[in-house]
Amino acid sequence: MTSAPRPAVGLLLALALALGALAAPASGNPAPAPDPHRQVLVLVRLPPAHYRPGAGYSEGYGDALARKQRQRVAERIARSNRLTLVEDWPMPLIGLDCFVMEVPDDRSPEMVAQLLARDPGVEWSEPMRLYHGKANARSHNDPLFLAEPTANAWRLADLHRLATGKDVLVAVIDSAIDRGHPDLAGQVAVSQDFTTGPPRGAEQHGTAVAGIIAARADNGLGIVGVAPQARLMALRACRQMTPGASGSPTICDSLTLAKAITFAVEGRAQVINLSLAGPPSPLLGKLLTLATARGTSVVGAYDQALPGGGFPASQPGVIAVADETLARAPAGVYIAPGRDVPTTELGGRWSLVSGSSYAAAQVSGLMALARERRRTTGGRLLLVSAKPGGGTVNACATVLAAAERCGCDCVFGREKVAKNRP
Amino acid sequence: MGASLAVASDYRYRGVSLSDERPVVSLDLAGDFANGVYLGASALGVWTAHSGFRALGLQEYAGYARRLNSDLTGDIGLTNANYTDAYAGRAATRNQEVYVGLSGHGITGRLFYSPNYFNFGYPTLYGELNGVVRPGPGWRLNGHVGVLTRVGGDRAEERTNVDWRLGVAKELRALTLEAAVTGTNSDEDHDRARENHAVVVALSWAF
Repeated sequence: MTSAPRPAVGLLLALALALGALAAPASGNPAPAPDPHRQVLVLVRLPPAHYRPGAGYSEGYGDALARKQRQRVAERIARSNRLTLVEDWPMPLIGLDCFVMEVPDDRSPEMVAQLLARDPGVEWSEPMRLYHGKANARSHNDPLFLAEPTANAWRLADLHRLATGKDVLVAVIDSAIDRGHPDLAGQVAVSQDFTTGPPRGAEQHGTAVAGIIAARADNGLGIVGVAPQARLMALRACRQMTPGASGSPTICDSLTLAKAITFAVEGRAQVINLSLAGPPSPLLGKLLTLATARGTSVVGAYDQALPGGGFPASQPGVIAVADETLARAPAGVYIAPGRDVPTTELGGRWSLVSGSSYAAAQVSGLMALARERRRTTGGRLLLVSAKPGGGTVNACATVLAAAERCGCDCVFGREKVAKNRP
Repeated sequence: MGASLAVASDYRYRGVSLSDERPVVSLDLAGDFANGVYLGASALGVWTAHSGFRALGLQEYAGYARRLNSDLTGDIGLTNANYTDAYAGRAATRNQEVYVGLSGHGITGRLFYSPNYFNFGYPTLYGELNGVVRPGPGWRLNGHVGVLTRVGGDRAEERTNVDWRLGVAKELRALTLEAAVTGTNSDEDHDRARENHAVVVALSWAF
């Protein structure tokens, strides 16, 4: 049996109800967020915990009494130094009570901390410091993003703070792109088929290349393209020999390519991706010379099995790109991530791909970022690499160079940054 | 210095009601110094059943606490409590004790020695263990168990009393609201039969 309710208990309950009102934040405008740059930490010796018999329920009330005393000390310190008490945090482990105080604008926190250290009641004081996590500052919510080689090598999420390729027109001259893929939905601005024969559905190679260049970002699905806000021109000039068969060769011919390049130039594509290689063609060469003369960035896949890396990589003015398997990049050949790249796959899926086709696609996306930074339509863009005339691409320096800012803003390892014209 | 004002539905000392199960108010003054010395006093008043509000008692204490390492704190001190005839024993009395304690990791153990417990004519030892956990910001769960035993006097009447308490407290700025269940195996409440367990509610305000 317990004590019977009494009038004083009712009084207590009424007081308890009043607690809510007392504890509720004051109405009106919220206080401005404290600025840590204007704060100092004030460390005050914390009296040891001890017995306090005054209240019948010891260990209970004592906390509030001790806290109130410490607060009074802090208020005195704050008042005598014209500071504002923000909060406190007792640290029994080191026997100190840490008070946070805000410093007025007319004094520096460093100066105030030195002044406070002379107070006999203060153990020491120090300005509030900020520390930064060393993980990538930004990321995307696309689950395969961190598996993309460029997420780390190019710090793609950081690059996307500079540019996303917004509204840059990228022509993907390839096999048919799966426009209905959830990571590509809405990314294709123009679609044209230059091949002969009955129309087919989407194909593997073109879909993979398109995903690397412009897969949607932050849709919670799959991957992130290098230029996720670029607009694609899906120009089908190639066909997969065996539709639906994984690894089936993709073949193009001079005429379909010529038609597609012409269409891209006339359609004012700002970047043309050619993830293919073959023998030189005067016709295609002439068209590409025209395209580059107009300031279009043309990117071609480098094939080390073909003389000069094959055409169009060997064409002057075309950015020749190989993947990391190329042991020593010849002059004028750039290296970009092209091994085990997650990208879009037929049937709304994703898979890993490898090859210089995909390294070229990475660079096409990068050039789209650079083009966004260079708002004027004319003028060639520079591809910045570790050594003059080729080598590993420095993505950040490339984007910053497009904005005509110093490449030294990029801190990517210790590589020496050089600017080169492709 | 700090002060607090508290009201409680009962004043239970080691499980036994000293306020005749009547509500009490207490005013506490405390000084905790950085060198470990502390002292304080507590004045108690009770709403009696027939005589209105009356002074219940005055309690003083002084002690010294020291951190032994980063985990353990040692504590030694003495207390003196004077009670008026408004307390449950119906006659003014006093109790003086010295104590020593050790606390760490939220657990405190103390041993109290009284040369003449409440003027009953015999010395006592009282050992207690208190634990506190904080399940969330502003919340506190308290547990307590204590054992009181005679260490002299008429051994024929020797008996050991156990008291216990479980409490929950919520701190809201300077206010603390606490509810506790407390009890004892003692069937003696200063010569009056009383409930040997109770729910006690208390509210305190530190200022």
